[in-house]
Amino acid sequence: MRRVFGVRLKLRGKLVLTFLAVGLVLTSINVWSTRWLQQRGEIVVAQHNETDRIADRLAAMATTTAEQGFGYVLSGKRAEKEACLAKLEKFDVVRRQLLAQSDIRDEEYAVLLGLGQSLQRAQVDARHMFEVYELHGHVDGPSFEAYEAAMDGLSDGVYQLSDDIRLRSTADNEAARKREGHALLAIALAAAVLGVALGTGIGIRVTRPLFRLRDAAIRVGEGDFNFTSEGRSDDELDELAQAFAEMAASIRRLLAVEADQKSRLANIFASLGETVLVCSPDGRITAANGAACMTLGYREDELVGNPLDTILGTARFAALLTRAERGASDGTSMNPGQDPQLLHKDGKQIAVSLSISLLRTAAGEAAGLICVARDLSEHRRLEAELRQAQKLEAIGRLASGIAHEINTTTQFVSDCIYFVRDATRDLLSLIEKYQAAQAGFSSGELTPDTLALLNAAEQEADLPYLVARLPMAIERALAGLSRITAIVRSMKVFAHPDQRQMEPVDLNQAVQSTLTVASNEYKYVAELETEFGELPQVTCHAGEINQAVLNLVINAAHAIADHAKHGEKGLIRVRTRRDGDSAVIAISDTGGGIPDSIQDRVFDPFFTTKEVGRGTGQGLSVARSVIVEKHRGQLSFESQRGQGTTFEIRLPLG
Amino acid sequence: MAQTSMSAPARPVVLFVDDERNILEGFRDAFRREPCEVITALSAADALKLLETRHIDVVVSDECMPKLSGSEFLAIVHERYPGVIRIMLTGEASLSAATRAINDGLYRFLSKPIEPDELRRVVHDALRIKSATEASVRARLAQGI
Repeated sequence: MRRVFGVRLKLRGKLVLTFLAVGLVLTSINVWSTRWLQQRGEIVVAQHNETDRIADRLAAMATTTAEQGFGYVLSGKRAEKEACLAKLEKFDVVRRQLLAQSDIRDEEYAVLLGLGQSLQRAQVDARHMFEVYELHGHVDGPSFEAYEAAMDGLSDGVYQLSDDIRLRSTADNEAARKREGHALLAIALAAAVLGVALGTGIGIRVTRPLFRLRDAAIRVGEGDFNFTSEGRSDDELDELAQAFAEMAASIRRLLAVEADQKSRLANIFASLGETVLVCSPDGRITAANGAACMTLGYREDELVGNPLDTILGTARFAALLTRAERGASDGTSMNPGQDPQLLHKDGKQIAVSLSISLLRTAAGEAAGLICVARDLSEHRRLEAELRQAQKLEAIGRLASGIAHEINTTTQFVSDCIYFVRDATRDLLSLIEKYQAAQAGFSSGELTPDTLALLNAAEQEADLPYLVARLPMAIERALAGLSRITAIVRSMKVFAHPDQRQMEPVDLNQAVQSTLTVASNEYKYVAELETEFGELPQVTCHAGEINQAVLNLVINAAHAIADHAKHGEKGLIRVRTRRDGDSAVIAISDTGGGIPDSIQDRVFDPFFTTKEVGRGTGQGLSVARSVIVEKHRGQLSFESQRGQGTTFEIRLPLG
Repeated sequence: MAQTSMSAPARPVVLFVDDERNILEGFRDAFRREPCEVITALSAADALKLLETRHIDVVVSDECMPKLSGSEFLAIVHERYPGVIRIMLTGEASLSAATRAINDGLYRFLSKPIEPDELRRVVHDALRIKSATEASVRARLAQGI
């Protein structure tokens, strides 16, 4: 079917040719059958016409015969009598002719036989009547009645026969028409069967590839994409099959790509270190990664399908969804509130940083919520460690300054005491000499030499120097001791042993202590100016606030050292005041200010502009952690290039 | 003790430099019987002024001072007055300061607190070396002439 007369046919061509062929066949069957039926119908009609004609002639003969016979009787003409008899003879001839007809039926045959008897009787009765007439010159009653009866019987038989034949002719016609109808029906049926057979054959050929395509489509629908075109013809179906095969191949490739992507995404999802929970719009968890299971202590199948609220410590799903929807309008993810918490399976609360965003379908419709939570336990622990480390760093730094301070003070205190010791020894030896002189005076052995000796002894002891300097030395020693005492006391206040609970603290005293222990950090580069305002007791961790203040003071000193011209001192101003519900500690320096480019990074852990050994970049980070996170306070700064920087600590009162 | 030099008309001069007045007063008391003149300065700048105006044999300086530090000051002294013997006396010196001072030919690096006897001995030794050096220089000059 691929080529017809060497012409490559498309499906349309095949169908057109097929229908043309079927049409031709049916048309020729129709034409032929019609002709055949017509011929048959004519023969039947001709036969019927002949029989009718004979029957009619018979009837006419019977009538005229009877009339002629009767006319003879009336007119008395002999010729007519002969004609009447001849007619009767002739009638019989016609009747026999009719009997000889092939299609004559039995009942007609019987009628014709009966008619023969009637005819014989009529002939007998006619002859008898004629004989009576010739004998008597008139017709007598009985012979005429017999003749009339015989003629009537003849006439009746003839008419009956004529009617029968006419009826039969009609019935035959009807039968013929019926047969014709049957034949037409049979031909139509045959044509239909032929058409159906042809159509089916062609249909099967045409639809076979379609069925293959259909089966392939079903297989594709069930996920089997291994379909290849057999390419047996070049028609549209073949093109369709090829297109379908290409489509299946494309789908196979796309599916492979999708499966690959899916697998990658699944790997990424599983390997995320942060807890990821995906929720349906009604708040049920639909996916949880390994980190989520680790953090929360559940198996994956225990999480999936359960409401998110069961593992939310502080927030509620509905609130998160609202926030996410609000946040989604500007395309950002939300961080809902401070310190959200998740609940571990064993009931333990886990501090996390929670980021939520809307899950969207490809069409952009909201399909749930994605919660990404970072476990802050480790973070908090590291922060505490960092604070501790920084505290140690600060204490180490202070220790060297404090050692210097104490060493210096010890130096002059001990100098004083050595001086007092030596002076005492000198004075005691002088007193001995005075006592000897006094003894000599008592015994009357006092001589002018004694006086000279005493003068020499006083000179030896350098008495005026001692008189002038001893009191000063003792004052210095006392001042030095009180300085050491102050330093040690400040150290104690500064280092304030870590308390678990916050306590009411005299903030001014705390700041003063910090400035005292830190004096060695700034006193060589800056003058210190303090202005302590009236403050109520502030509930806080004094040790940590001190650490924060110390960090700011050290930074101030460094800023001044970096900025001041060599051999000039800057100014550090420390002020405290009450501002509404806050206690404020402001620490200003006359350093070079913080460059704009790094202002947003100064609180980052380990961010530093200082060389190694001078700072590790934790001071401000720790100060902020202490003030903002532990005390719910604020730490801010204002900086002017070349003018200096002011840091301000705000702590909530009460 | 160098009793002989006590009566000498030109007593050697020792300069103490420290930003802590109490320290300087203490040293003054400690050296009251020493055969040398004790002068003091509260800052490196003051000390440099004194060096400009008069003869000084030994300088004892603190390290931690505002503006000019002790090691910076002693470096200037070394440059301008190479004959002056330099001693560092510090409460808590950074390693870099100590290294620099020693590399610059420092005579002694001392830590506070130091006992007066020890300080006096060090200064005394310094003065003896100074005079011995000057004597040999004079002798060599004399031989050269």
